[in-house]
Amino acid sequence: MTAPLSFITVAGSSDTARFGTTLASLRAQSRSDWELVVSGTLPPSESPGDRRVVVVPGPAPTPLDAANQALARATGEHVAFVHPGDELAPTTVAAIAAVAPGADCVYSDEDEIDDAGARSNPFLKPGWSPDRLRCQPYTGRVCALRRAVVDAVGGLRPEVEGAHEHDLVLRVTERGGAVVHLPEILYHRRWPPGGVAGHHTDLAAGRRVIAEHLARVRFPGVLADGEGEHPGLHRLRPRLPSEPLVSVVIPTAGRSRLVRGTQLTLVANCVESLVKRSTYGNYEIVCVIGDEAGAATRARLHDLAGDRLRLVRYDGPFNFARAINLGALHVRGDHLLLLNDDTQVITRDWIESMLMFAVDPGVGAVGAKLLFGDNRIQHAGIIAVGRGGPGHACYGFPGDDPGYADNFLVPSDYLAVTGACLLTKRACFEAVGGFATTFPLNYNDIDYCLKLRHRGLRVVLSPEATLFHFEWSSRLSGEVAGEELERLNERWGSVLERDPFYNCGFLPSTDFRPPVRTVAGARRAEASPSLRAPAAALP
Amino acid sequence: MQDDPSESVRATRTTAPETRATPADETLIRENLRLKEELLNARDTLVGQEARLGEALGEARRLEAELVRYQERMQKLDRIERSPLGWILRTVTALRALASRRRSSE
Repeated sequence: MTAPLSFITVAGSSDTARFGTTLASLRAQSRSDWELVVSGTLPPSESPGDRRVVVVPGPAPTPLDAANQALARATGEHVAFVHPGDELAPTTVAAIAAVAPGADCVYSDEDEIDDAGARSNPFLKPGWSPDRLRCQPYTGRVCALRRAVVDAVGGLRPEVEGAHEHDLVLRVTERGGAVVHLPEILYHRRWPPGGVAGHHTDLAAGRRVIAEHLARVRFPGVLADGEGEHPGLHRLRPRLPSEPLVSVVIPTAGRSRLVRGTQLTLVANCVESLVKRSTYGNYEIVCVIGDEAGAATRARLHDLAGDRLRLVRYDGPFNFARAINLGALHVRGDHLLLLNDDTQVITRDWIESMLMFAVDPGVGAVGAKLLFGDNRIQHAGIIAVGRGGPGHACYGFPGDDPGYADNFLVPSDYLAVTGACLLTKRACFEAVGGFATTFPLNYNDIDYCLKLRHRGLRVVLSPEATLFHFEWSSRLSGEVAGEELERLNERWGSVLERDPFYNCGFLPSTDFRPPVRTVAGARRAEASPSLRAPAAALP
Repeated sequence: MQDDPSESVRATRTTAPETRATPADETLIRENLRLKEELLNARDTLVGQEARLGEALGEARRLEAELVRYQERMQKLDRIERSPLGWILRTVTALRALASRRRSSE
């Protein structure tokens, strides 16, 4: 009978001492039907009697050739790389085997272990987020890949050594099979003595891997020049093959407010920044304008935006959802960019940065990173932690905070993004019935995103698109109408209880706080593990 | 709440500048907008009902699973009760009750 999982490892002569711990963690599995294919030599203490351990003697020209030789000998349905010295949780094989039959890729959370057995730096990963994987090899280990697909894509590529695992995961997942995240720490990574030597990421190989991936999937973007201040992360710049018409819909009552010491007519400020800063050429502006807005505001908007502007009159009691729908009925473009009037553009290529994700047929909505006037985070994705009401991720954190595992530096899937700046295809908007008018003020954006996800579409946040959002800074995210929350729970209660992009291992807040370990001998958890070093660890 | 038909008409003229809207056209445009809005609302209701149905089905499955679990436990308890172990447990329980009554009467 075929083993559900084959572990692949390359054991050099210097690894034999550590290899015993890996093997011991395998023998302690709750399921015994695993296979370990070792390229190299077993520790002298290991007797060759265990049929589950297959040794490929070698020698091979490079460790990657050795790993490919081991892959060729593997018989499991799925294969996973394990580094000598690393350990697996006792339920690893059972947990993977339970979900693997329907998936091409299964990945779990991980942490680090030292020689005393103390564990630290848990990396609690988000659910499957292909746009994040382009920029960050976040799937890490343990990562079980369907062997047939690994074979079909040709295994590991020695020419990208140093970023070969990232390359393999990209090539496997590009084929569109299911990807499953197991939110359990199943892998304990052991650093070699003296730090991370030998686990470095090869920058040039990493960039080559991403560039080739972008070309293969015809992604409308390219790698940004240089690596900047965040080595190991890859930033993408948009390169759109065409400029489709984007219709910016701005509901407004023409209000004025003091912003950074200046009294501003919010919508005029918004449109001015949009017109003056945006590098994107092909857009129209549809302002859904209330009667409260005076003639001077209307004239100012015409002066600022000229022919790009159309005004749609709105009267009656304010219903944000209805105002958005009304605006959407007047647009000509195939892409709707919903924008609050109290926003101000920061990054010049914000529309392109959102559009490069939005043009993907599998993406329903794209959000932007929004900052308060004092540069604190207003919006960087919406997180649901039960039925108490979804909230903004890391609300009020410093704007330059990289986030947990750098998640604010890379595009990521979320359950929802704010409607204060949301790009969506008009066809998607119409297919799900636009914004629900039963949510007049709150949650209409979240409901919209959940409707899209219900239809199998993803919701992505592009952190390269940054705007100010002069939302009332003093307003707490929890101050919302109870009736609307009740309605949201009626529709989506069970969905809100299991946000796949917010690991259930975090404390029930929205700021990615891992719990402090209480297990004897374990160290205090650190807030933000580094993903950069382990990404390219050799098998 | 109404949208301003004149604004809507102007918008439509921008879309199709070669046409000139007559009063009859304006009525049609207004009606067209109203129907489109109604269609949006109807689609929203449909997706919302699908979601609610999903919620209800999920809850039904959860309750069914719970019911099965309880039934299995009841069967297990029943088996224990009819086994020699059950006879011992009943006897011990009766003896304990007797001892307790004695203590309270003293």
